[in-house]
Amino acid sequence: MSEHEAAPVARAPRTGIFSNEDWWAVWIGLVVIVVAWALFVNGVSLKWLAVAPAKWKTLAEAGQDVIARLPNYVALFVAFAVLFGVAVVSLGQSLARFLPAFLILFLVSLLIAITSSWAEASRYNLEAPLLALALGLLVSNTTTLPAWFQAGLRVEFYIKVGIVLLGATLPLTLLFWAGPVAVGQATIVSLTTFFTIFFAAKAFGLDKRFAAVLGTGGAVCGVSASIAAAGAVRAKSEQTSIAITLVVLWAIVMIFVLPFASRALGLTTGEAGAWIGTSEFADAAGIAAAQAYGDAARNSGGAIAGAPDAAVQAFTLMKIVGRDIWIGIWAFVLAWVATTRWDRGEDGVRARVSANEIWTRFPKFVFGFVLASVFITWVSSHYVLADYNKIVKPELVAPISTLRTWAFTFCFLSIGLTTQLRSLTATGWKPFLAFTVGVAVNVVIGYVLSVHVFADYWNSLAG
Amino acid sequence: MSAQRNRGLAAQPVAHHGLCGDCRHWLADPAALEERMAGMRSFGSAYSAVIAASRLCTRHDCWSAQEDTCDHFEGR
Repeated sequence: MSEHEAAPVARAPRTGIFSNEDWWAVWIGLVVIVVAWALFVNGVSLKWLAVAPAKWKTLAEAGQDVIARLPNYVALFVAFAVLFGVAVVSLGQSLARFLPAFLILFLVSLLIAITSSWAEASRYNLEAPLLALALGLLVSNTTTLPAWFQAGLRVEFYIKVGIVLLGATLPLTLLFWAGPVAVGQATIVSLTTFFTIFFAAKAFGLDKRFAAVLGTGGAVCGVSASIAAAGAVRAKSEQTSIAITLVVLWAIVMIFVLPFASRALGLTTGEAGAWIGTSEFADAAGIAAAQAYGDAARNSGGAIAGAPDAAVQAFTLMKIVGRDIWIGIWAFVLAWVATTRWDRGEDGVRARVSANEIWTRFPKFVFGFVLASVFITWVSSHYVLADYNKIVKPELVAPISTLRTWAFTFCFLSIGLTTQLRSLTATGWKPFLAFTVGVAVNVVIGYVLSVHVFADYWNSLAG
Repeated sequence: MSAQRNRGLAAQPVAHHGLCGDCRHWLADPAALEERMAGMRSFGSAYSAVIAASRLCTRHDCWSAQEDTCDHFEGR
């Protein structure tokens, strides 16, 4: 390049604190928490907005309850629509498509919440997460949903908002106490799973870049990790599609298998949550499985030991703190290896490696999760335990938990509605076998570490 | 062996190659990316942080970063 030729400047990437769904999940979650706190210190609770169906035995009871709370449900929809709508517009999506789609999603989520509030629901395994998922899968795989409806099905966005709100129910001390255990367990499992899949894929003769995408998808955080790894090693789009297909299929299978296996093996909620956090592939899928197990424990009459909320708490510590936050480092290391050690692809794309990758791919919603925990821990520190349980928990924390449950239900329903099995890419048996070997190793090691090696930590979660 | 030698990189992007982020084959729109990649919406998102500046190159059918280069650059 002559000194007179200026290097071309790429279109400025969207950066900054409003540039992606992760940041918007942070702001939405923190706004909700701060508003709840502001109302709380002024003697008002967010309870009037954070409504959920009451337990019912007859349809007449259920109907009366819905009518009585109708203004609250309308206000709840408007609040979510405004918060999500601002993010949707900022991210360049169509608000005109999002709003009607979200209205339908909200109404169906309400029906699911009502159904799972039936007094006999637990007898038929009608916990909200599994019900939402099953209904969504049934609808999306037997009918053709209109294209505009897809605008309201933002799985990742809803789960991230829910996780930030979840931070408000986790004391900071718990993060410090259990965090290192989660990181240690996750490191063992992630490295083992990655190299199992990677070398199995290579043994089957698959391309190294493809093997890396498959391995990261199985070891770190599913679809997000596959995309991050694919971007880092400049993989082919078909390879990414196959990895996504395998992650989606196994994640769906594990949503049902892990809670049922946990119950059959008599695991506590903490152990099951940690196992799910170790062996599920996607945040949304894992939260669905963990919450289903927590709900089952809540309705089991003591048959499942441990606090119901411990399942989701252990899952979150294990998955978010233990696995997800390292995706930037995985991407950077893979990019470096691909660039310096592997043959250049036939495509001729010339890549550069930058340590900046560690930051740019970092899942920023984790900041919201930690900040929420810090904030509520600070608020709680002004109360003795008795007052916390009597005042802070029901008036401040419980409404935030209810809103979190709504966000998760939107997510679970969206998972089902976006998972159209006929549209997934055919994988071929080699990638399938390589990934499945990793799944098997992951599940066994995850079980041993969660239930035997680190069981004391996971069983100590207060819930 | 340095990264640049092995991958044939220049210290600065070569002017006549252009950057992938400016190329018409670079699928910049996240919505189009989700449309193209089946299953991506199920447990992922093209609007999330982990995707960073990676997008699909429709010319080579592979991922590339905004500041990558190649010999087939075509401006928008």
